[in-house]
Amino acid sequence: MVRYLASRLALTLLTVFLALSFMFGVLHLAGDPVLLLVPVDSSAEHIERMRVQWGFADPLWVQYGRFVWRACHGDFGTSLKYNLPALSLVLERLPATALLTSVSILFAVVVGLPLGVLAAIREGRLADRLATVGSVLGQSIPSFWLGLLLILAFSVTLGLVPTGGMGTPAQLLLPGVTLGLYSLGRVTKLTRASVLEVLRADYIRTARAKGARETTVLFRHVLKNAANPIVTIIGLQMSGLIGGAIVVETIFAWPGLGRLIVQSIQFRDFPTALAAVFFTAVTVSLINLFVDLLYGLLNPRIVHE
Amino acid sequence: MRKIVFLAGVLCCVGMSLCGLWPSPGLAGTPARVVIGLNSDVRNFDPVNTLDTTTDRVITHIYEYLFVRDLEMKVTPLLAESGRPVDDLTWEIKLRKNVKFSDGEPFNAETVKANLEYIVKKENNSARRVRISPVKSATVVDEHTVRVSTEKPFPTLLEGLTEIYMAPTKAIKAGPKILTDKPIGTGPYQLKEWQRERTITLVRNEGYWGGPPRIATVEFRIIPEVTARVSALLAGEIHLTPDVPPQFMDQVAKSGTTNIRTVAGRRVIFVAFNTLKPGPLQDVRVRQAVNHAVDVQKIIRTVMEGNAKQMVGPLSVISRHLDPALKPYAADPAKAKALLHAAGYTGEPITLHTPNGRYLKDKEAAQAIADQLTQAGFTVKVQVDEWGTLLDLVKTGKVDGMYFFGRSDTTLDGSMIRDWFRTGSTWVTYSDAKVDAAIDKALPIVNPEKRRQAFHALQAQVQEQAPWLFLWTQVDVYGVHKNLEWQPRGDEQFNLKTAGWK
Repeated sequence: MVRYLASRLALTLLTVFLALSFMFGVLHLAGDPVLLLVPVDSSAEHIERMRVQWGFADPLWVQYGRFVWRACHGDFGTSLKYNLPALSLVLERLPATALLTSVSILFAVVVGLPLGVLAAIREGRLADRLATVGSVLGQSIPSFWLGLLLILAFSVTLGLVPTGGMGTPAQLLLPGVTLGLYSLGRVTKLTRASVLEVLRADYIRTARAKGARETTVLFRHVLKNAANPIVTIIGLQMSGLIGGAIVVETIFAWPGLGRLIVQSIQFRDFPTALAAVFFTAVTVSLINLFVDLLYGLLNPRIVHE
Repeated sequence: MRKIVFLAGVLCCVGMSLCGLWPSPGLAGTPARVVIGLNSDVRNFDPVNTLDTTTDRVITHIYEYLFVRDLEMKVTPLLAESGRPVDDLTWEIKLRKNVKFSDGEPFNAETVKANLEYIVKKENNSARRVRISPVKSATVVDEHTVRVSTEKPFPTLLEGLTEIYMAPTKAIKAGPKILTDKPIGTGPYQLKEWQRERTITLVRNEGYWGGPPRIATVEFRIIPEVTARVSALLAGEIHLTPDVPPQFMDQVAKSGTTNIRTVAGRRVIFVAFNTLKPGPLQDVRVRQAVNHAVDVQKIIRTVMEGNAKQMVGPLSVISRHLDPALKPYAADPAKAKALLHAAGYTGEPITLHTPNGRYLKDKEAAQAIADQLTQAGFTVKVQVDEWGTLLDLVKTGKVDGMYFFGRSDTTLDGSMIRDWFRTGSTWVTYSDAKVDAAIDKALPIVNPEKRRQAFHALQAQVQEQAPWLFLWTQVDVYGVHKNLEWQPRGDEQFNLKTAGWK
């Protein structure tokens, strides 16, 4: 177990290093950041001076070496846009991202799990059909469209909740639902599929044959055995939401990590973009590790070597 | 069953709102507060190292200039009392008395000297240096008088000073970076809280030298998505927002609580030609043909839905040196064809580069232009570029054919012509020795009448040489709460100092 953990953590480090190097290369391929950062009227001389000051005048390998060396010391440099430490800009987005992610995952699980189970035990009947159609819809409605529609309905027309921003629980509602709906669809579908699979297993028939009550069968035997794929999908959704809620964050003016990444790339604010990628890579790797470890707990047949 | 769930949900909302847990979105309208929706955040609050519209829109409430433009864009004193040239290379500026920074430091001639000399010193890499780069030094005459020396005649010093903020001497000496998130200014407002990418809250400076403003709190809310921003305006969460796109203007105008206010801005929009690279556009007749082939009025009507004013020459329509006698190129495809024939153009493909979303309806306008050019006999290919890529292409001169671009007429007196057309200026892909000579001759003229004449002649000359396809000056469109007493300004600033609620 300890050896497994150690090797997985080493792998995580390698992943993060590769992700950062890749991002570094791609960002520098995109071109010169100085032109976007200085005022449009700047003289050629001023542009050149800023290029030297920010270190973009050095050869690429020197810049890369400097970046790796500093990153190893936890220093991601100063944001070119805000003129503040890049890593602290990323960290200040954390509460917002964590809040939105957990609310939408919570929404997806609390609604999606029972819905999936219901669909499975009523297979082929109306409840199943509705749940299936609903989950397909949830997955296929584009979030920018749904988000704007919800704003128009609940904020502009009904005046029930604010259009966006962060601070009160009410402001969490629309982005949480918009973001959660996609995960909801996936959780429902997957729960339905894995519960159906388990329902057909021999040990379920045995449980019923020995006279166990239907609820006992469902909670004791079915759900426990159907849990693995569901946990996987929840983990995957979570990693996806950490840095990938860009559209929803933009529509609802939610100050999360996804928007920071996109903005820093648009502005070619390299230090911030790299710090954000570093953070996302670490978080996603850790979530994956955590999910893998959870498997062993849920299903003792899986042993980590 | 579903009805019960729905009812429970509604009851829940009602219950929460009664308990006050659910803040009513309409709450923003308390009389002494104005909320402004912006599409992006300020860079920071350093007045020396920033120079961009969004940042200026916020920090002009905190820091002040020596001179400021009034609603007619005329330069008037703000922290100064007067400014006049002593000779060709020296200006004397008298300063307002009894002005203090919000931390108590007095504003005086020392402040002006410290700020100007810091900004023009090359090693300091100030973004604002470009506005007053001919300034050499400043000397303190007495507590409230300062003399500014320039390296060469600089007739637009006062215009330049309308974009130079005065920061406390202490902060300049310590390095203006200490103002990054703790601004100290002489202005009518002070920073109370900055939640990055969320809100910026300013509170009124009770000790303001001009008397405290009527609005006690100004809050800037960052809402990047334009539909959401307009929705917030319609829902009453924000009271003022710039850049309302044409498709929403009707809705905002007819909502009953908001209206649309417009003003001709100083941003000029054009298609520039790269004449530095070999190609048909090196021939002036081809460039003139482009200007004749495109019906600018028609594009303004259809694509821009009226939100633009056609340019006649290279200056913005609100420039004070605009020549009223100048006429725009007539939309005349037949003449364009004749010019093309005379130039021997036989359909060599020309690329039209355009950004997407950088300027109002840029891509759509570029496509309409390409369409009209094709009808007049050109072979045009539209290429949409990411903004940073396009900047790169233009800066390095690698851009081929022509490109949809915009510049801001910051001086509004014609002197931007140098930045736009003079050989060797940063973003210029055009070179003509005669135009260069005329620019060099006109720029240093101090005598107002002679200066006006020189710029009138220059405009005609540039128009004839057609280094651009002259398009329009953008009209800035604001969505405003109907009870807010506030007027839009041509320089894109908000300036809520004089605003108030009806």
